[in-house]
Amino acid sequence: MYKNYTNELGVPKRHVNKLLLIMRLTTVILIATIMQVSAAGFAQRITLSKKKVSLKSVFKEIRKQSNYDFIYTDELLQNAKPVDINVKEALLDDVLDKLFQGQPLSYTIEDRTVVLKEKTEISLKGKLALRTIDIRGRVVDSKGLGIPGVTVRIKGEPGGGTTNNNGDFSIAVTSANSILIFSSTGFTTKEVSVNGQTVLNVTLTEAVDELSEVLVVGYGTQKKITVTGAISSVNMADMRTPVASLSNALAGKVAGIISMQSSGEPGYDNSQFTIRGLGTFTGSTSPLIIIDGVQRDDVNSAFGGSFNNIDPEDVASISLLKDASSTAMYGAKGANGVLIITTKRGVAGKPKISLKAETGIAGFTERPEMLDGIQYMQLFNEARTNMGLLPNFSNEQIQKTASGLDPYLYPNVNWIDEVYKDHSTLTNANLNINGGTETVRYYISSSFYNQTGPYKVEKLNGYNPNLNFKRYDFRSNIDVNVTGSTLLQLNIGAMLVNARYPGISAGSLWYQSYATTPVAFPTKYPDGKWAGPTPNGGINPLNAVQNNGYSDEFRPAVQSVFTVTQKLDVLTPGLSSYARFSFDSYGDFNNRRSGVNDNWLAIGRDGNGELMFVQNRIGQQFLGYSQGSDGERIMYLEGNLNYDRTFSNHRIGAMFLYNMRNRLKSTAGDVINAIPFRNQSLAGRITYGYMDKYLLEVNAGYTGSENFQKGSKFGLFPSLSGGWVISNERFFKPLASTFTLLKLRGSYGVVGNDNIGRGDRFPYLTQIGGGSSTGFGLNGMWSGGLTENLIGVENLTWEKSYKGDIGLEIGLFNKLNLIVDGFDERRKNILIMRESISSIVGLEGTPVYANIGEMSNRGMDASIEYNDQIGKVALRVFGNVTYSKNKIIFADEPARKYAYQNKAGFAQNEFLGYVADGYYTSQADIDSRPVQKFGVVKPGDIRYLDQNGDNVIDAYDARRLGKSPFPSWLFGAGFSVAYKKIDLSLFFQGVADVGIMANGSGINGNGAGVNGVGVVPFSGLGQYPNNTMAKVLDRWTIDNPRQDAYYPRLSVGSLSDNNYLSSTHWLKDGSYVRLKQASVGYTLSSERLKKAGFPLLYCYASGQNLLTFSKFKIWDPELGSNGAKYPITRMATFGVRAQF
Amino acid sequence: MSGLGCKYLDVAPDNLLTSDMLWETRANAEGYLNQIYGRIGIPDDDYTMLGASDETSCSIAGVNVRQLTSGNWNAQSNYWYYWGQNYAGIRQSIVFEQNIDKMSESIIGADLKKQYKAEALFLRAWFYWKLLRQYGPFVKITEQLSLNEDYNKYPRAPFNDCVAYINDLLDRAATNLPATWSSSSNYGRANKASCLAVKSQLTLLAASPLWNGNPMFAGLKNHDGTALAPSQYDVNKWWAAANAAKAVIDLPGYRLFTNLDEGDSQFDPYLSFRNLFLTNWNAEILFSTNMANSWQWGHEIRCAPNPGGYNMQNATQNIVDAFYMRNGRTIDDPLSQYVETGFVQFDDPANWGKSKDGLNRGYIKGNSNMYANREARFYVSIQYNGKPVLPAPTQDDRNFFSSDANKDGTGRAEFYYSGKSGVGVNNNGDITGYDVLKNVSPASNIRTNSAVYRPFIHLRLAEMYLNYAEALNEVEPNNPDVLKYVNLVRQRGGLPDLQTVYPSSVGNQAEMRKRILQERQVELAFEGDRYFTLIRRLMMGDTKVQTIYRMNTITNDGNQGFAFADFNKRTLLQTRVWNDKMYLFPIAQSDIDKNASLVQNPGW
Repeated sequence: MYKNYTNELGVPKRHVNKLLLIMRLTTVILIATIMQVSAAGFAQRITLSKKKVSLKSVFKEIRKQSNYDFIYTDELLQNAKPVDINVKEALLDDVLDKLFQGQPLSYTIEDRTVVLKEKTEISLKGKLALRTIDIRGRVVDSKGLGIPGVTVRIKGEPGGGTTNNNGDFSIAVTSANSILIFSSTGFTTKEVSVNGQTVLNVTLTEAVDELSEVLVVGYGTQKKITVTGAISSVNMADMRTPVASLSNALAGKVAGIISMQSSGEPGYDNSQFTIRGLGTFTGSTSPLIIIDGVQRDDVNSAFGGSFNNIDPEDVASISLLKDASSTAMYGAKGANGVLIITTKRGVAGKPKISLKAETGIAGFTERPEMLDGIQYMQLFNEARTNMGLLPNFSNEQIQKTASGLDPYLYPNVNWIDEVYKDHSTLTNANLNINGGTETVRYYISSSFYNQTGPYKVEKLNGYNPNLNFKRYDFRSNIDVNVTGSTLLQLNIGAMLVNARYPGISAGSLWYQSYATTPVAFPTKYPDGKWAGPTPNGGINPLNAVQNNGYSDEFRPAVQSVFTVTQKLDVLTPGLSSYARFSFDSYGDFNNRRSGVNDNWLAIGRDGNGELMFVQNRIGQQFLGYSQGSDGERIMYLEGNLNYDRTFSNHRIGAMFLYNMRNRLKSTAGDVINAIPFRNQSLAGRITYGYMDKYLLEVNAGYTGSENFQKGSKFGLFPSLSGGWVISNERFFKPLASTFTLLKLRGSYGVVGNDNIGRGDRFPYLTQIGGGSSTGFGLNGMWSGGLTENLIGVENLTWEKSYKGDIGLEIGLFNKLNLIVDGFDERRKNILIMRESISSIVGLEGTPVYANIGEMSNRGMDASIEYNDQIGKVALRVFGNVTYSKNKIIFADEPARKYAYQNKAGFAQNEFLGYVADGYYTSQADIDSRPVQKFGVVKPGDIRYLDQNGDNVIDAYDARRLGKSPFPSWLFGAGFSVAYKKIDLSLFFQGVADVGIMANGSGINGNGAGVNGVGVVPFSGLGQYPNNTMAKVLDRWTIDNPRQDAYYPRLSVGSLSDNNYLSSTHWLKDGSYVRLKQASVGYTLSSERLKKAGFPLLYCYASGQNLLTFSKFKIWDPELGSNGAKYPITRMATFGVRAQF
Repeated sequence: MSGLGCKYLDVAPDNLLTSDMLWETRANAEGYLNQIYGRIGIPDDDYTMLGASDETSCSIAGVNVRQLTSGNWNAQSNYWYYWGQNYAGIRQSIVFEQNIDKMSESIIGADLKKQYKAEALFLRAWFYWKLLRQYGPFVKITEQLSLNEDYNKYPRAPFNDCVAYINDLLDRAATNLPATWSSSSNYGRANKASCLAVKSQLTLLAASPLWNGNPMFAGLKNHDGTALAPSQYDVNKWWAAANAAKAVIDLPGYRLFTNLDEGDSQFDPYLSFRNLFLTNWNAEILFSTNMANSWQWGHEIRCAPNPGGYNMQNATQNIVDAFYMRNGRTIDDPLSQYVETGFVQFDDPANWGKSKDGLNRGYIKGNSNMYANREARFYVSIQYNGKPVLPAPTQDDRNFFSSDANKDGTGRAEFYYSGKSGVGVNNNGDITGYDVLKNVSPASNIRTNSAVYRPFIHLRLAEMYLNYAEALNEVEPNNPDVLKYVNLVRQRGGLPDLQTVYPSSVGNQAEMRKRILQERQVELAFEGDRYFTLIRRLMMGDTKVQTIYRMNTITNDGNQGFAFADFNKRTLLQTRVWNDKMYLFPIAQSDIDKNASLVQNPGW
């Protein structure tokens, strides 16, 4: 079975109903375990009299009389002999014993069901010794919980028993030296010597059972041992975090993902993540997201991230498809890798109710520090003096501000502290129930997530504008066995994000909190008047978040899948098929109430000492109203034929499928986007395995996209992969006790990407749309223009990714697992906008596409996991690392004069800038060096190196600087230990080889102000010399001309100044390691209470992003080059899990 | 989901507007033509307006124009990269011309077709002229180029060929266009006057020293040795320029605008000159862009003082000094009665503007004597320290621009150190002591960000008068037309005729040249002409033009405000960097990288 970490109190799931596992052969493969149960207490009496009849007909009769079901396959009965039977009022087990005498069959009874099995090889040789010694005991897991259903055997002897629901067993042995064997699916089999004891308590450790695990692969599942592609699966136990967004929880949890979360704003904080880095330099680099078999993301769609709203509690597994072999079936959608999310399903049995509730607080990982009012005034004066200007603030003004006696006329405001609380709250809960019978099973779940906002606002004028993010998730996954061979499955997931945001966007608010000077005005005046600057003089950030109104947004999403699976063994054994239909619907609605209030500025005090005001803004009495909405629907149809059969040593599998997809936007806004987005594909897979030793697999996708011209719509994407399980070789047997697994695999193939940059479509058609307008007539009436928005080029098609992968999997002592993959990707025919077309053609600004870009991306990923039980301590240590280095090979650039400015030959988005060489030391130093053309320089300004040797530093001396904003390395590592009832786990995650251009160029005013505020000292227009980070205190001055000062000579700066150009001076190492998760838990698992009807309880405290280690200390390094935005959040939560 | 099978993906957007369908309806074809018109930029904040010549300086350090004048400029800077944009317009005009004929006459009548085609020709000529002015010789494109062309086969054409080609385009366009538009709905479209006006600009450029035998360009040759600049001076080019200007002047239906055109009974030079730019249409306009809600607000707010405006477009002392006294004399003339010190004791008795605005728009009591008794165009063009703010209709709006001590309802602009626009309180305060005021409307209210409509005038008749006078003076200094047309311009400005104040200039080619150029500097100030006049006349290297003065905005007035006498001290603002290579913009490095046959301009 695949690792099925489900819903049990933080403990890996092992209450696996074996009966069901057999039933669900399509998804779960069970190793035959030997089980002979001495079932006692059957009440039914059986009366039967038959001669030479088939077992099958006898079973039918018994079923009628006893209401016991029989589970078997016809294959099993092929070798059964006809039987004679004549019993009257006999006990069921007596009848069964008689029936099975001499048959090659055995049986077990569970839950009023008789399960047939092949008889074990252990023969009943010799006569049985007398079993006189009674042994009793309990089998528990690493957390001390009893494990039900563990098979207990006596070594070398037939017979045995299983543990009951509490994990208790009792068995009689023949000798005080007997050895008992304890085995259960999902655990490492353990042998325990009786050694004269009569009470044995045994702890089983969770098995990392390579042989029986199943992996979710493209359009199906495969036995892990037979997988030849590069596929990793996420350990769902690691996904238990209070983080709302699934993608944010993924970073570092699995080898192959590189992700960055660029904002912490609830509802808008999804990570941008890639599988194995960047394979293309245009269009999308996001992987394809498949949820329950259906594509659920769309690049360039507002709803692309909606999968993030699935509660991780409802997720059964997450698989990462990384190489060509595993993704080829996705054809033109698979080049960026595929992420497959599967939600949980019901398991037959009594209803199992799981409840999780947690609550906690959230704050910011890093709170940027700005200059206070006094420092601001002093440094601003210094900057002006340095520029030959007079100081702006008088000593008197500075002293009055410092005294704090009149904070209304001489304010000194820390805007970040005024606007943002230290912490906000979050609460979330999940309730799920699963159970059912063999014919109908259900998994239903509901969850709720609530996070409050960080703004220091209150209910005023009838509304509270604070951010409040609420999410409601419902899920219902139903399985119905209509007949023995027909399974219907219906998944319905409904998600609703219902959130309030203040009337100013989070980004603008951060920008303003950075920008606003501490001395311009207070937050408000004692009589309740809100302070505000003159028009075009910035804003009062606290006033903006409190009084600008609010917007209520809701984003409903419905995702549904209906699947019919039909076994077709009647046609030929091993054949099955399914058909799947899905529709999704997404919406995004918001009701905005925008407000403007009165703003006042105190200009002095009158004779009585009362403040005198000017009104800088006249407000409106009522909030305005506006609304917006957006939506789309997606339909998907798939038919799938699957064949899987073993002929002695040969395992042969084949799969063939057809699918089509149609996505339609409700508010497309233009003709091009109103046309449905369609895809259609055929895909197939053939697998062959010899004794699970030699494996071969061919995958191919033949996909079509509406985006391309007739004749170029379809493309074939084949891949070939193979594997060699060395540990299954005969010659390897001597090492088998050490190496539980040694496997080598490799793959090569082609995958496609039909995603065109900018969201353009139909690039083969010249498209006409709105262009620049003009005006005619007496009053300048607008006359709309039409222009070519895209120049069509014939025969465009997908980009193709040629991917090779070689992987090694090692299992040691059943405790340590190591997987290492190396990959090499060459993306060709990248659909890029032409850059080398001469301007004289006259296509400036009009895209022309061509399949000519080329990029290479290579690297490795690896994961390691170690599980052990040392005495009473259960230990799990794990880690993974992903490395990818990309290089643009061809980007259709003009033949540049200096190759160091090219894109080709460098990484995607590699920073372009100057190479700094310290600060000028003196005028003589300035005179002796090449002239820098970026304005007048003085000692203390940044020196740059001449790259082209022309003795002038100008735009030609900017070069690629070797770092990009995208990390080459991402790693995660952690451990968990459990001792008795306490468990502790820590998880660290980090990135390396990533740059931050910390000159402020990433801080965008978006029209509300200049770029670079906060970093570039005192930048800004008009009466608006912005505040600056406190880091500016560490600066070069005439009195202290340090070369190692962080800031150069102070000036009233702008991004185009000599000192604030992008350069190695500002290119900082953005690597970090953070304690991403830490949790400590306690199991209140009193069996006594459970019997009395109380639930199993587990409580825990956990923290997110508690510590961050980085050389870059100015803002959270994960934010990248833009520090003026909603930071990454840090959380501390307390939670309880209960199971009824 | 319907339609299984291969047709499923054939969603080829049949309802999509493709290039063929453009030519199926008149509205679409007109839309395409509108788009070409849309490529005519409104240069209200480009280098010509914002500080590349001695008229203005931008108050914001670090902007491109400040980079340019401080010498941080190379072929990779791409400042005002209009090369590609102009070629895009050229291509589209060719596409339009090629396709309009295909349209049936039932959709678009023969006359209209002819007109639109002529407009497209004009537009193509316009873009080529813009290329020639900024970059010099261009690559001549006569048909659509394919995407996979070998661009290396397209070198630049010699200057004379370029001029001849544009002239030819304009001649062809002019043939099929009326001299004036009979329907007001056509205002803003090119007509015959527009074509001839561009011809005048073009021929004047060709006749001017920059291109008429300039030895500086002797080395400007294609790789095959073809010289791109004419090596010999050709006096006939001045004749061509004079004739081209005269052709516009002789067109019926055009005259200099005066306030009498607005129904006033009394001539008012201030209103005549100011409202020439602010009327929705008038008979002086030869070519304009008539687009509402586009450039107007930006211009108003750039020009307006703090706190309502951005105070960016600072006029220089250099241009202020160029304006005449009311008696028609220059301020350095001992007879001019110009006074540099002290303050005016009385309001301007001329009461210019009062008939329309109810307010005296001349100088007022308390203004510096520097600003007293200047010509009307000065008060239209220059926002000086103490001059009431114009785009502020009510007393309350005007008070908004005043410090508490100055709130008297007049809204005097405060450019002194501690004033509302001063550098003492603003990070980007006014650096010269002046803002541009031309083309700013009193009907706008910049405090509430509202700006009224008026067309952007690219070419007007007064410029043609000055073109004519300038060219004619080079070949026939004694021709009475030289004086006549300079005087016509002066008269509208309320100035006495030139010969009455400077009789020695009559017939004196060198002195007259100087007078005409000064007239041009004043009349066309802040309209984008000064930069190109200095360029084509090879005057940009003059240190006088590169040494920029201002008022003393940087000395603390000690809260004396308008009474601070030291404010009116001439102070050096900038010594700009000039290099003769800057006479032409560099061809962008990326364009040379894409087309190896493009030779770079000299010195770059």
